Amino acid sequence: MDYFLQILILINIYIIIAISLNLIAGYLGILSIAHAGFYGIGAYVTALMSIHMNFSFFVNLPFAILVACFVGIIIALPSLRIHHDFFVIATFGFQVILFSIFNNWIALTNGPLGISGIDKIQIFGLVIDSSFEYLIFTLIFTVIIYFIAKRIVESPFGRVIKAIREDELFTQSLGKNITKYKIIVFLIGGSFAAIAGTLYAHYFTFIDPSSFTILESIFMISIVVIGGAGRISGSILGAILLVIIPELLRFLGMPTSVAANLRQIIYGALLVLFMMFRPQGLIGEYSFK
Amino acid sequence: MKKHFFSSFIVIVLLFGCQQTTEKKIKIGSIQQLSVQMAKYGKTHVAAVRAMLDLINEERKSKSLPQIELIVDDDQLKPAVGVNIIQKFIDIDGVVAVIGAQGSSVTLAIAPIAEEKEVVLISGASGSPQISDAGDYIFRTCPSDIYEGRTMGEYYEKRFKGEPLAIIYINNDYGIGLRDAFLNALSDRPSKVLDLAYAQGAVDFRNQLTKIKQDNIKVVYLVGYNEMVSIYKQAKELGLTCQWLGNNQLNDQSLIDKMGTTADGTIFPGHDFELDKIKVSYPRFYYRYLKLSNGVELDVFAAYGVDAFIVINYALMQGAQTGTEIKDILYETTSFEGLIGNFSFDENGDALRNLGLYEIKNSKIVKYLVSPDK
Amino acid sequence: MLQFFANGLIAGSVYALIALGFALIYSTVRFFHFAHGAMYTTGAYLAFTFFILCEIPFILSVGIAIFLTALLGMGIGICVYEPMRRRGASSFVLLIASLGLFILLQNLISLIFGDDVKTIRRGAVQEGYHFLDIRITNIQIIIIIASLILFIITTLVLKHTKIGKALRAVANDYELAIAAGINTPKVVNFTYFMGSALAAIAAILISLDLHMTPMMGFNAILYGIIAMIIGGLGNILGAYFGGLFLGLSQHLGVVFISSKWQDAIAFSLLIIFLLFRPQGFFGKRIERAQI
Repeated sequence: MDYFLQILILINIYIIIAISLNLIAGYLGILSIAHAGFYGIGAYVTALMSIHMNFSFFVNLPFAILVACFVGIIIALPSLRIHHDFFVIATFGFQVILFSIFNNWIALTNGPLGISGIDKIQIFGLVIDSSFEYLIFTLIFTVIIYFIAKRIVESPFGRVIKAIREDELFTQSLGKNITKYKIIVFLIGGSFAAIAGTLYAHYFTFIDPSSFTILESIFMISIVVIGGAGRISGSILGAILLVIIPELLRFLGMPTSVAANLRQIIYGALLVLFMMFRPQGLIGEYSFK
Repeated sequence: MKKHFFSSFIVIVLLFGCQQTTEKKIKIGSIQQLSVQMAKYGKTHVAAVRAMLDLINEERKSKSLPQIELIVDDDQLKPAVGVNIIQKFIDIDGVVAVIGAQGSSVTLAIAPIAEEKEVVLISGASGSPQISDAGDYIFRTCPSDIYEGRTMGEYYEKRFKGEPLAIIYINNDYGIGLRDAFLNALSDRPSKVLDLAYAQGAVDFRNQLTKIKQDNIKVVYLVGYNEMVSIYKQAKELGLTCQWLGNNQLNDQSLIDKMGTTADGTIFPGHDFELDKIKVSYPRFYYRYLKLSNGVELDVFAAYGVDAFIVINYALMQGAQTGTEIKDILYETTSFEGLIGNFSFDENGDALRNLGLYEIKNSKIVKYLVSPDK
Repeated sequence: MLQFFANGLIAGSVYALIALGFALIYSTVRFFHFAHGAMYTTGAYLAFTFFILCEIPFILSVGIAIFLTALLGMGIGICVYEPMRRRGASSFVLLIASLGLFILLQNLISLIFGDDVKTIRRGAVQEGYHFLDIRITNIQIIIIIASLILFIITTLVLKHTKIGKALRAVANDYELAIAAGINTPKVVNFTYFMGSALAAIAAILISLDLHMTPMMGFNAILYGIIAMIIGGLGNILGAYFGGLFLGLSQHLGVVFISSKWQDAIAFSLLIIFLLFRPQGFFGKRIERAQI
């Protein structure tokens, strides 16, 4: 049973990530390839605080969010000065830089060796030990974040964001401070991703830079794109599909040396086909026009 | 649409689960990298274990013992993938032990799960010192990198006594681990140490080599994988001559063949892995292995993988049925007869092995004879 | 010190070629064609197939490899991108599609050839020529010269041939070019063809000197993009110099900082340029409409 529970926990983590990225890329319309970096920030801050200072999850989480926000501001500020297309490239750059820090600043992050021995979560002295308990714990976060995201996108704030996506100049002419909106969305998105990173770190108790690479960022974009940009439930669908299907393939008994490549080929093909024929994803609302 | 998918997922899994209860087999899981740059070592590992498995299954059949089945999956050298695989192996497949992984970061990630579920995990290639403390159920048949780094460090100290030194190493757990072990083995810090890390996947090493040449350093400790072919090549092209101290990855004649004579003179610690001895002592295994590996020559890590399998089978033959029972037998047994000689496990689950020194002469690996006065 | 400069020049010459090809394509289609990195890898592996596996003479192998890769690039343009562009797909959609193509092609190569390191070089390794206190091999000299020659050829094509001038017109203003009666689809196809050919040549040159893996295209394309932006958007030839600049600064930078930070340095350079000089060295400033 633990295997299934573990997959479900992973699905939850990716739902949170997908929702957070959807806010930035799907609702605000800014494609960001730095999202794995935020995920990693959450994981690393948590891991370091857990190992070095023995803090609990409930202290680690706010700190992780804080650091993610700090980095989020650094990344969002240039977006105001750079043309859209190049901002994507800039986020590429930030992702590479963040990964470089995770991988090379050995004194801080232990580099490629990763950080092991992260504590399990304790609530009022009770350790969350079993996978089932952790699933419930994660589910609570997923549900909370789902409702927050829903409220945001259905509120006046959300309407402005979508307006910015459709026509930034026009929205600005209406007197809206675009800068403020963009930064807020970035911070929210980054924070949620950091929460996901924290949940990941405490469950697997081991993290290393290879989980936070640019390919991971592209994977996250794919979830949003295939599931459906511009609709929260699209992120849920995308996360479920893109986590389950590779695991399903494991049971099909493909000759293992080709399985990994085949999986990626299918995945690349899916991206191309969706962009060619259904850019709004399965149930999305925004087709990146 | 969500519901549809989920229920079909359950159905498929159940179908597979049912299939496996028809014939009573003992299952051993194997987690290796089969698809990334180091895929070759994962594949030879699997081929070697399968070769030995076939022979052992024959023996078991003749004694009316249940057959062993090897389930293999690809971790892509990613810890995040490894943890899914081992969870599936233990939960769904019901393996009695797991052989894996090769990459230390993967082994470290899957160890907590094996430990918690009380399933024995034996690695044939992970050298990170952190694995020694990874748990009671965690073993390895290869020595910790500490020994390899230490052996090389001690040799350097004896022969070069503090001369300026450069260390070129790959920036991952392996490279960093060996570098640390090497430096820690030295009682005096060398007069100068050039620390030159390179990223995984790098192809151009000329800057590092130029730095070495510029500073006139004559002793270089090299830690890498098959990109070493390029390092030696570029060194030669840059006109760099020095004494190369190598790592155990060089203990692979097919790799040395790719280097031509550029690597001649390198001295490295080897694990008493003598291919000719194995060919003579285990001919049936060897030829079966060659068939399964499509002609790729046996390397030392594949041999360690076979040793991992041998000890598991030994424990099973002694009547062990659970992970705990296997674990106990592994610790208690004083000597196992492996493919690379006899060995036993220390209290951390690390194999005690001899490390000898080898040299590359005329593009061939030969034993290095340390003369008494050096 | 001079040796580092030489190393940078060699690397820069290759980046410059990649950037040149990429900029050619970008200038006419205005989106980031990531699959260009896959064209790069394909070029090298095709050359490998013909020369090493089929034992076809070297020049012929290389020539066929370049031609086929150029065809493939053009084919992707015709079958995938252009239909999407005709339907009004935004640059994001095209970018994501090109990412998908890149992943697909790169894994296909990995599947067919395996992930280990391969080389097209034959023969024993030799010490490089000793010259002015640096060592340089004949291949490396060829790289620098070939790169320069291709740059000159590209410049000549752009300035003096009919299709080259048409290309510049399309790059300058797509709608105006159509209005002026230029056969824009033909021009776009030509840029995919020529750009991919340049990528293939760059990859083959690198594989002769170093080695090749299926993943090689990934880094190549990232560096190509950085070079193009540094060189200046809208200036195709500027991309070439962007590549040289990138190679030189990266290699000279490694003198002071450990090379494991190489990628981070390159991208920091990119971000600095994006922030403070988005038009690069030679480009035109794209003004964002402001209120």
